[in-house]
Amino acid sequence: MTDKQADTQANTLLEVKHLNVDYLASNGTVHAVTDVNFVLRRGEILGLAGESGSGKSTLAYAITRLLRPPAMITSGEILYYPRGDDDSCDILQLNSRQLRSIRWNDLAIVFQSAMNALNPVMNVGAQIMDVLRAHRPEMGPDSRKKRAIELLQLVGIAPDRLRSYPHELSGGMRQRAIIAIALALSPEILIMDEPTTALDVVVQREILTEIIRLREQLGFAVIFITHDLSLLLELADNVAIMYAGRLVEQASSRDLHQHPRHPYSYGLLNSFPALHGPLRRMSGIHGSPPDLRAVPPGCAFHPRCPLVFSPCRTDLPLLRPPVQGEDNGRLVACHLYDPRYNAEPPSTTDLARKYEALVEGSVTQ
Amino acid sequence: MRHLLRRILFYACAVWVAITLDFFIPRLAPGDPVAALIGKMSTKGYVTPAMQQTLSAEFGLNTHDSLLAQYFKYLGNLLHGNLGNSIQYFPTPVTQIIAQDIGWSLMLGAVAVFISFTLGCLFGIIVAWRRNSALDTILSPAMNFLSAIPYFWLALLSLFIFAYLLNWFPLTGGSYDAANINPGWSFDYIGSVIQYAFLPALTLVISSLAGWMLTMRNSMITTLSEDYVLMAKAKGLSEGRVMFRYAARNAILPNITGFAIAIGAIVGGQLLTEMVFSYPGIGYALFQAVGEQDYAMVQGVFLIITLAVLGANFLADMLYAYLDPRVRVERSA
Amino acid sequence: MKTQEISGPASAAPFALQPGDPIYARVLRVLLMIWHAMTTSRKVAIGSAIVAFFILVGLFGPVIMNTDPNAISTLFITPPTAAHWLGTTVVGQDIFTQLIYGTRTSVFWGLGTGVLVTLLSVMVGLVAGYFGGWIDDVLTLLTNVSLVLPALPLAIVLAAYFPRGSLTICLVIVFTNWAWQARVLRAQTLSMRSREFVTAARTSGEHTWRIIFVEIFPNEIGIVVAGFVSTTIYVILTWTALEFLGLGDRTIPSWGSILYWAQQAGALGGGLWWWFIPPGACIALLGAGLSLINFGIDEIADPRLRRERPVKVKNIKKAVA
Repeated sequence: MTDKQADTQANTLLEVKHLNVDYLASNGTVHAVTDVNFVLRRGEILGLAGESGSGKSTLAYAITRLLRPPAMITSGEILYYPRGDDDSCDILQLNSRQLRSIRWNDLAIVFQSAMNALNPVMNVGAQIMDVLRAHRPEMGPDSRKKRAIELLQLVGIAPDRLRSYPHELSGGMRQRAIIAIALALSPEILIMDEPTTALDVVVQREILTEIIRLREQLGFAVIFITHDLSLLLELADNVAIMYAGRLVEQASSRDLHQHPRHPYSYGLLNSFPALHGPLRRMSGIHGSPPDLRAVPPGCAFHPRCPLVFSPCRTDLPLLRPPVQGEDNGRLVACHLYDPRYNAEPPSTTDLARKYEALVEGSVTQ
Repeated sequence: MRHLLRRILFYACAVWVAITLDFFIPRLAPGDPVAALIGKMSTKGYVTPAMQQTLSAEFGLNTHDSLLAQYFKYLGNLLHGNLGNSIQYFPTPVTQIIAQDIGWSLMLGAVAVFISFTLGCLFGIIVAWRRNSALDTILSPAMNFLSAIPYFWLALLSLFIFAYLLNWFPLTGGSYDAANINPGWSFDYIGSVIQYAFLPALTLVISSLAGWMLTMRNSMITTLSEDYVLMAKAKGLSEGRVMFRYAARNAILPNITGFAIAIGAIVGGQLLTEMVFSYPGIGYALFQAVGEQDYAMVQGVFLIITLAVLGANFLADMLYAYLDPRVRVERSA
Repeated sequence: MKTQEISGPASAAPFALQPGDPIYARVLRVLLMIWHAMTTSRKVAIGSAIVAFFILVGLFGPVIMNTDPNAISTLFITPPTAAHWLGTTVVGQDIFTQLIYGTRTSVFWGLGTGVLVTLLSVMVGLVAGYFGGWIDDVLTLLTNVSLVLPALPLAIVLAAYFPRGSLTICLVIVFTNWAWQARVLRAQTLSMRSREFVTAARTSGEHTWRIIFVEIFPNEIGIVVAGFVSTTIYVILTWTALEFLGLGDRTIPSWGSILYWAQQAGALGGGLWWWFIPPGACIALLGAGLSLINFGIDEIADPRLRRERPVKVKNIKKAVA
């Protein structure tokens, strides 16, 4: 093991290996997550991006084992390396008591819609304090109240809101309240499932600034799930892009912004109009995501890809470094970067040209 | 506070409607009730002209007051707690008879409702939590069927089986064994009361249990798929706390609304039960009054029943407002 | 007593129609949906079969039997024999004949009253929901008051004063039971009213009543049907209860009047089980059939309530939530 690898090892917080999640329905099995592998390091913000139905939420719920039937985790390991310890535990193998002790203590989740995630008949303070009561039995009611007020202030909610009901708070405040509850036990990992999608852009900005500040202060890792890639470019350290249940690209956000490799990543990035620069035609991505009961053979993206060529229709591309021998963590699942199929990997301008050609209509699918 | 005020106003309105209906129904109905009554009473004995006068006065028929004046006189009487005199037990005032009977009805009703509501909700919660278990697959369709059985037929059946065939319970009716036991705080008396009330209470509980259980179950199933229940699980809270404080607490709200509305039906059902078992409560009194054409009784009992139902409804409303804080906010339609 | 009414589909329209389609298309679609419901949901199928059975017996039973149900004989209070399948009453009447004729009376008066109640509640619901304003306020107040007054005691009082007969009972039941459905329908109409197709209709100058009946109402047929089923259960039970109390027409045979005469003759104390068990069983069965249809519709409307058939999975390392 090299020094670098050892260093990475020590820093690893969560390791997902070969995770598969299926939805068993009477009209066909939906492969929501197929063979997903990634690593989350301490204090890292990992962005998980993809269209609706790409499996990102399913992945998040699988990690916390909150999936409801008919969803089932059919194979895989989710190794969690608790604070400072050497030994890991497989979250999928924990019994219910162990699971309950990990939940919220180490692994907290921030839901998409705060209005739906808060119990409408309990006030906000009670919802913070019952977590404390369940996991910190040594705390008395006074210290619980103190901690609750502390948490509310941490996210910028006035303490007099302790006894407020969810319907009495504004949308932004509810989201903050959810974040406060999530941070109650100082977890190691915070999973955020589209926490700002339901809010307007101004509040969105406030919440995101809040998250960055809290992360700097408390040092937790974040898995941030969203379909809004531009958000991740600002917020995340690393980004993983999912398509049809598989990871298709992994890179640092900077790298991704400057040089997206996978044609899908390029398409996603360029679906957002730039604030500056010359006017250009927007292409978006032709077609729509596949039905997960019948994923296209070979590369799932091939029916929509402007750079499709023959192996794409038959062979499944695996996640591998785009440049041979490089080990900086960049991974892409595309035959264009596989020297066995394609000698010269495309550059960004190549991708740009192909997409524009799509718009012009000169490339037929 | 706003909410409380609106509800009070509403119930005041409902009370007024009830009183007014009670006043106008006998007067709007065709036919001459007094003549019919006198005809009936004549079969039992001679009806003196004085009695005839009193009867007509009871009905306000021989006065030359306008309808409106009669109405206000009626209201005035009500405020003084005067519901008129019973014809069957002439000249005992109606209020006296009601006072005797209402205790039995309340006891029977309160016990039956409490047991069936509590058990029903509990079963509903458990069955929804353990869905697709053996319990759910057997209990739910059984309850479905049970809730469709007419109240009084269930009562008849149980009377037949348990009282007639098995002789476990009394057949003749009453609230306790009046021939042998005197009222008082003795074991004998209490035991006798329980024996006479058991079968009516049992049929009431069985009949209404299904309704509570099924509504609770359905409501619980819907609630369990809500995000806040998922979040409660994610928080690592104990299963009991998630089930009760998060899920059941929300799922029970439709049942409480239903409870308020069902109180009227419960009272109606109890009426029939008392009738079948000849249980000397207010429902039985109403039935007898109808049969004997004791109109003063009929009106009086109806009013008391209605006031009780409105009162119970009001309490249920208040309970709901306490349980669901969203209701307390003034909401536009 | 009848608390299962409460569980009726509150705001979800089980059959979503495309607003704006021509009438015949929508009617056809509704019929197709009913057929679909009957064939896919086991509950609806069984329930419909039971109800259909009783309707058929009611329609054709008396025609086939063609005897006088009130004919007295000298065979008093006999248990079931070959000649009298369900025995005889205290004046020698054949109970089986009475039951068959009674089925016709009870089922058709029950269904008819159910239809009337539904009609009235639909009218009130639509008007209150569509017009809003003071009309809505008044109608809502009326509805709420009617809901909160106890139905059976009021029905008893009304039936006691007005001339005895089936029509009286019918009207009394309508008067005391319209409120529940009206409230449901008002809520639904309110939400429909703010939809775009209604705004479009109003802007194009469509006549108000046309909007209500041709545009809005067809979208609510699902709820109305479900409500009709719920209501009819309650109507039949109330009807029988009132007859049992002697407030109905005691001269014609019906399930309730058979029970009334049985009670009068002390059938219970005399152990004359063949007299009072069959009519009650019929009521229970018809009620069960209607309930099944009701629950079936509920399940169609809200898929979460359906029985999950667990899918068989072999040899898979499961990790469940």
